[in-house]
Amino acid sequence: MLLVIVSGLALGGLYGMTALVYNVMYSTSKVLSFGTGQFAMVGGICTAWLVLGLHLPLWLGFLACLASGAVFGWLSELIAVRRIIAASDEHLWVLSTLALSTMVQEAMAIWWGTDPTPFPRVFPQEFAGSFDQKFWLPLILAVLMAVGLEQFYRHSMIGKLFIAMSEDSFAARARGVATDRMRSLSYVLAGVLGALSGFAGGQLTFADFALGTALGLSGFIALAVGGIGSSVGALVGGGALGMLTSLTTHYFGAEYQKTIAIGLLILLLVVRPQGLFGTTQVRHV
Amino acid sequence: MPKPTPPVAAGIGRRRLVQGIGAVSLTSGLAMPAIAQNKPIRMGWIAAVSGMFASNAQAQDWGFRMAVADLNEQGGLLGRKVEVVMRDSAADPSKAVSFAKELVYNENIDVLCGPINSGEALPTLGIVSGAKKLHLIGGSVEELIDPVKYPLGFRNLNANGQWIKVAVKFMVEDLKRTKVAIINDNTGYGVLSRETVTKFLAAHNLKPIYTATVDPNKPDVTDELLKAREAGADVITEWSNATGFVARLVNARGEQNWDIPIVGHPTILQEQVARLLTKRSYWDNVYGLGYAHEIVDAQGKLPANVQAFIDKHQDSIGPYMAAGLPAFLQGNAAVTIYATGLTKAGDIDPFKVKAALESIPRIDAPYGPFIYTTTDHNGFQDDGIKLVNANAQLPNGGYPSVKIS
Repeated sequence: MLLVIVSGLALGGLYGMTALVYNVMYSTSKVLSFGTGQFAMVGGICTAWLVLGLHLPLWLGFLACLASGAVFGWLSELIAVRRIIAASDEHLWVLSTLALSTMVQEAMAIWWGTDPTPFPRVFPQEFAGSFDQKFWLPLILAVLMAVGLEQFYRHSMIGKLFIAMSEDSFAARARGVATDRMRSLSYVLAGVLGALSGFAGGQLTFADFALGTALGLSGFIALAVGGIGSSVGALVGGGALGMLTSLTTHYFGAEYQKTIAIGLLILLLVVRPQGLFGTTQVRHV
Repeated sequence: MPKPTPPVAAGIGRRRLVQGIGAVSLTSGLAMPAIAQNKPIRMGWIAAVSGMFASNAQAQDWGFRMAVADLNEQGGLLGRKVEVVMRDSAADPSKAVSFAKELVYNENIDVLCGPINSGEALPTLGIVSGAKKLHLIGGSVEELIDPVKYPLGFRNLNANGQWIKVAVKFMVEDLKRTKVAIINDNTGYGVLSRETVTKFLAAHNLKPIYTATVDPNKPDVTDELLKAREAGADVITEWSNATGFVARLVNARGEQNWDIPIVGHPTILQEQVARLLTKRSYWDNVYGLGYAHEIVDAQGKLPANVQAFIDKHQDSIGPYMAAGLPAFLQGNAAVTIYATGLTKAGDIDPFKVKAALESIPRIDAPYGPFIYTTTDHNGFQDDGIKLVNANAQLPNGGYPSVKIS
């Protein structure tokens, strides 16, 4: 039973990290990017290529993984978001981020191949059952990421500017905040955190071009359940989805794992549409 | 002013003109069959050499082309050179359909080989059948073959049901296991395979002790394995061609120190799966569906006709060995079957070739034995399929026979 719980929590950590990445981008742009899961895919493949393909040290692979996320995040904002949200109030970013996500996935399939490839062990450790790093890394890093982001939002100037933009982007600009630059910076940060999630979960997911889509969807469900904008919510939403998936298999069988897990989450959203930790926005008229 | 007479026509009277036209017509009429008889035989070939199944398809393509080269080296078929008209469907069924139309109607091919996976082959059946072309089909799904609906369609590999029948027989009769857990992915193929396994288990008066249909992209399958273990399974059979999913399954069993056999789809034998395993030893008690053409003798030698094909094309085989012997031998089989039927028929007419294929007692392609009849166009024989131990592959690509202790 311990292994079932640990496995569920590890999946939950992975989904929670993806939800946190959604939040970072949403705070400055109000965009829920379809490319969110692809940061993890690119980061994971980049690490596997450098460490197992080119035999570079793991620390270098790790840094390159984060750098690949930063570049991809910056390009995402530049290509798929900046001009789109400047030109239209409609949700055209759905199409632009989806298009970019598809292009990146197909490009990786052509370059890297469609078969998953191994991901390096981060610590020299024989498989240790419930205490194995492949389960604990995503879980620990998800908690660290959520705590770190909360500290960042509360105690750093840039974090406070992100919060200001999330509350009222026009007012922030009127008070001299360089909103374009802040939004670009938030996408760079999101890319780095997304790539970090790919690194943390790489031993579970392998380096796989198809990872991004599945992770993006699960992360989005976690975000909706936890409440958009809340770091704690993202973590709890991810954990709930991972645990429900695992426990459903254990008690009802694998055939029902998605139906029951997602069905329960939909039920929760019916009762509490803003999610567990989200707040209802009041619009003054 | 009189109109000038054209100089060429000046000396030709009406009688000579008529004689000339007659002579030309007679000459052309005599020449036509000679030109047709020298015209190359055009083999249409659709394979997804790019996209999802590229590595396997590239090996099949190589086997196909080498078999055609061998035929041409021996003088071609019916004294005519053989040409390959190839199209890459990139694992896209809509492209496969477009190319099938192009090949049978515009390129005027004599036979179509491929597409080489079921999802692409299914939508092409009506097109090729409607154009009345012989069709060698490279997919394993049962529905691809129907001698009544598609009388010119012949399968050039085993059917999926044959794989499952042999796998179930191996689990029950050779491994003597009765508590079978079925774990499959949630694709149409995976679900269909689970139903077929259940059907063949029923023939042995058995029911699966546990079944799980799983999303192949799920990052961890520990919970499914634990559940199978709790149910008391003494063998697992897996049905998926997703290498990541299969590797996670083998890893999860190994990491639980649960040494029960896993028996399954040929994907489980792929080196891509081995590379994803935490320990190579997890592959020890794993059996995948292979072929008799991969089984070596006591001296470690492959069957003679397989070795002869490899030896002959030693210079170019290098990149294709990794995909395994069945891939390029399946490409070879399409050509060998058509060549055997055409030679027996002595005529390019597809219905004559069909009749010939149905009357040949046994076609011994390096891939394996094929026997077609008027009511069964599946051809491949069950004894051509053998279970092999995943971790026992030899450097020549073959496997020793499985010894059950």
